[in-house]
Amino acid sequence: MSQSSQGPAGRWLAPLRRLNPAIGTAGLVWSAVAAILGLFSFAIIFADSRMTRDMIEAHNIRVAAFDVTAGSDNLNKALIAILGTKTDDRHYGQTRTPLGAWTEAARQLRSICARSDWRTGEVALHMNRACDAFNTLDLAMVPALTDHERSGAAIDDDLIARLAELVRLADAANTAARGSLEPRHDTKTSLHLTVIISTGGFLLAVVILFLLVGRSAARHHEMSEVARRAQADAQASRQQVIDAIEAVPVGFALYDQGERLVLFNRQYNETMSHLGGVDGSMIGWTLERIADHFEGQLRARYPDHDLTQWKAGFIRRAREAHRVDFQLMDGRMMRLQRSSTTSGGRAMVWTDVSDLIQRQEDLRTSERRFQMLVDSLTDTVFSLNRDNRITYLSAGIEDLLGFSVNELRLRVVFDVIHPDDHALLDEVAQQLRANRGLPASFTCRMRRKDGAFRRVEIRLTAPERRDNLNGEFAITGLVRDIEVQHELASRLHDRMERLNSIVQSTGALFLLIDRDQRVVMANNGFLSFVGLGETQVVDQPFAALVDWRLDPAVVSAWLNAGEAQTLKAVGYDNTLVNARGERRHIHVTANPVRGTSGRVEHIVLLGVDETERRQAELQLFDASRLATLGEMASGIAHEINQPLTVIRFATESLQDELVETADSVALGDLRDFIDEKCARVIGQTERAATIIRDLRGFARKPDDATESFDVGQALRIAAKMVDEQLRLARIELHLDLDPVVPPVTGHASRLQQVIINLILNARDAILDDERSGAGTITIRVRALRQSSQIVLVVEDDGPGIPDHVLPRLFEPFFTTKPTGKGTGLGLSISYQIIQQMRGTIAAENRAEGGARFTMTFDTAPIAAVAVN
Amino acid sequence: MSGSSALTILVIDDEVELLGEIVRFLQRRGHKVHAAAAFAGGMDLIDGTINPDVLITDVRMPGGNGLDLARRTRARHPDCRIVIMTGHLDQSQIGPAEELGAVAVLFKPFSFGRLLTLVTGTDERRSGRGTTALPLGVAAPAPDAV
Repeated sequence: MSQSSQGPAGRWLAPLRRLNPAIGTAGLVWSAVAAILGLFSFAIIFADSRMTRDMIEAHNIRVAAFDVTAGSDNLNKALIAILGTKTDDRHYGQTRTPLGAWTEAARQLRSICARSDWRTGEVALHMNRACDAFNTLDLAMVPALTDHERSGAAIDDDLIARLAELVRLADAANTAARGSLEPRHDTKTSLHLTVIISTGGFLLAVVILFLLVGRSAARHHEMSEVARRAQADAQASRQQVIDAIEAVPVGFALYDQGERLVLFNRQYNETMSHLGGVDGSMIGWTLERIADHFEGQLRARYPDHDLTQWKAGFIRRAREAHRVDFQLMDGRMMRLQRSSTTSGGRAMVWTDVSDLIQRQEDLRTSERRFQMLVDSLTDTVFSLNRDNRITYLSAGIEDLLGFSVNELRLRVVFDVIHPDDHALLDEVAQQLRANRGLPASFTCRMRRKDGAFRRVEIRLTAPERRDNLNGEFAITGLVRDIEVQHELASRLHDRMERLNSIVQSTGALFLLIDRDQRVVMANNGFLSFVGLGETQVVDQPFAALVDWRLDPAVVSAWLNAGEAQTLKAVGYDNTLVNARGERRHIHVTANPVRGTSGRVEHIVLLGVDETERRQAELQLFDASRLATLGEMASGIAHEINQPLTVIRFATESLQDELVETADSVALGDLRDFIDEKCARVIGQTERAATIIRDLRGFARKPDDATESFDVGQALRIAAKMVDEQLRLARIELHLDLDPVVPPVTGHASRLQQVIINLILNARDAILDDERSGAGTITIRVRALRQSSQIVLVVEDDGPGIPDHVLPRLFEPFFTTKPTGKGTGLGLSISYQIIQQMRGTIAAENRAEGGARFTMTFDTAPIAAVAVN
Repeated sequence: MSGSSALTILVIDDEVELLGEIVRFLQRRGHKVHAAAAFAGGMDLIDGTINPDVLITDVRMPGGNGLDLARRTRARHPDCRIVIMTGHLDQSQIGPAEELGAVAVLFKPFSFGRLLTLVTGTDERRSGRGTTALPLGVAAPAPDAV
């Protein structure tokens, strides 16, 4: 049925085949039987009816035959009568005249010929001839015989011959009629029997057929029930399909074969909302008409747009495109997917792909970013397929091997591996494939384009089968250039050796302790200082070996410090007694060392014996102090000369008075004068003594031990020592001191030395300045309570410090003074003195002109301070 | 020491007690003494109506330099004798003083006798050695130091 290439026979059989499922093979057979029997029965009945008709006809013929026989007999008589006249022989029936005999015969023949119900068969054939002959003869005979009767004229022979012929024809008809009169009763009886049997069979077959058709009808009814239910189900499922189409989040429109809109869902309407949407009334519209409608909407909504191409594009997309992305007027990105239905229609799906396009764009961006990232790696990313051919390489390879990425793509990786390392790579690859997902790494040598070999570390893994893109990425990994590391490692070993020899041979005391503050390592310097062997030291608590006074608070802060916390080394001075009983001045620097975990695992203690250096430094300070004294000498001399001069004048004046006084004058009269002069002498002597006293405090070599001292007091004395000189130089000295200044630790005379140096420098700068003849030097002290510090400022309004001098100001032997004036050690020693007091000193130029030196000191003595 | 005609003398020194002693000494010798204890006051005296025969001035003073006073005096009173006093050890003032035609630079402390001879112009060494101040200045304290 479904085959289209049926032959003619098939076409003819088609109705039967359709009948077959309706009534079944048995029904077919039975209907064939019924049809045959029915046909048979009808044939017999037909034959019977024909036979009955024939019998009636035969009867009629027989009746006619009697007539014919009678006619023939009369004709014979007429012939005889006619012939008798001819021959005058009245023997032959002289009862009738010829005319009477002919009239009798003619009447009978006319009656026979008028009949028609027997005019078939042989009888009719002969009879028709006879009738034809009779009709022509009768016309001629009647006048001839009439004439003969009246006048006795002879009867023409020809008429007689024709009459004889007519007699012969009538006899023949008579003979035929006699032949047809034979009875057929046997045939008729057997025919009736056959009719009964075949009709009975036909009826039986019809009954069976009815039964079959009834059964078939019942089955068909059942089937139609099923079909009805199926149709209802189909209706329901169609509704579900429509509901589903409504529910899908994409626009859906269905056009039939003639491009007429059949259905659409709400989302389609939504999609077309910028074109005014679609409504139910548009069902049945053609694509062309819908396009026109939308174009009209667009013209109304976007009058400024060029819409000449719009309609053509709309229709083209609907007809041709299977999948096309395009942008709507309102900016949304749409994907139109079209598919043909089996009935020749078109289903169109409109999907809002703005997000998708955005995601694709994002994906592309992300891919680009990924590629950039990979290419920016100094390491090379690679993948091998299952044939060990390179399927992917990042740009890093170009730096590593000098090959471009394309030169190596799809080459066997062994081409660029040192021959000696092939076995290793093979082994690793097999191992990887056996344990998918587990990474492995090894180092080998890779061949550069220039033929040189480069040592690399390869980290690689065989991804799971589902991830390896059908063997394309059978192995993926990373190549890292470790030529430098390799070289470094070997150099590191040498360097470690060297470092160790340095650590051991250095004069410094080196000690490494762990978190429990037990000694991990000590160098020879330390061992010889404490007079112990290495075995006596290692693993021993550090505190029991040497009293290095490491601040427990600092250590605990280090040990608990987080990874991100910045840790500073601390330095502090210690006076220790070595194994030979000598007091040594040791400067200790303690440095926390982080382990790989990020927490502090060790502390390195480096002790430097500064005894000699410290002594040298102190000697330098003393030398410098003496130099300052020397610089002050002329000023001091002037100050002492002043009272000396007054004393001398006073005594000379007294002497002069006494010499000129007459002996008679009582000394008592001069008492007032003498008193005045003596008081003056005493006063001036005291004045000189004060100067000497201040000078002595300054000139005295200070003790080694530091002490707390009052900065304000020290500054006041220093100021007094230079006051007179400044006064004479017409320089004003302002002392601006906080009422309460906490004490600092150090040597007062050293600080005075620094301050006096600064003042004298300022004085010289002011005096050298040709702009003005006078100046001001200000000394200011402020206590910073929050930071427990005091700030000491010495500033002047001189010309300031030249810019090129400023950075080198505290360098030893750097001086701007003419040769012979100043040692050049002043500021560098000031710097060292302040540093030794744990203070800072900085120089700058004031914005309003002049130099400013700012010093800060901690007010509280502390055990350890940070070292920069 | 007496018998010489009275001179008009200007004495300028910022050290008041020293100034007082010098003034008293010279007045007792019969001279007419005008004193100033500051640079500005000294300048006023020089620019004033007085016509001094002798100027005795300290060098270093708040407000100005004694050499400036000497210079001014030289300009206004060309015949005035100039005696410079200084408490400083360095001899940097000798050169400028010499240029001004000062009769001597006296280094403190010095004796009244020395001052008086310079003021009255009876110093033989000065006439013997012209106006060169340097030997005077250097040698001046020597007799009294013995």
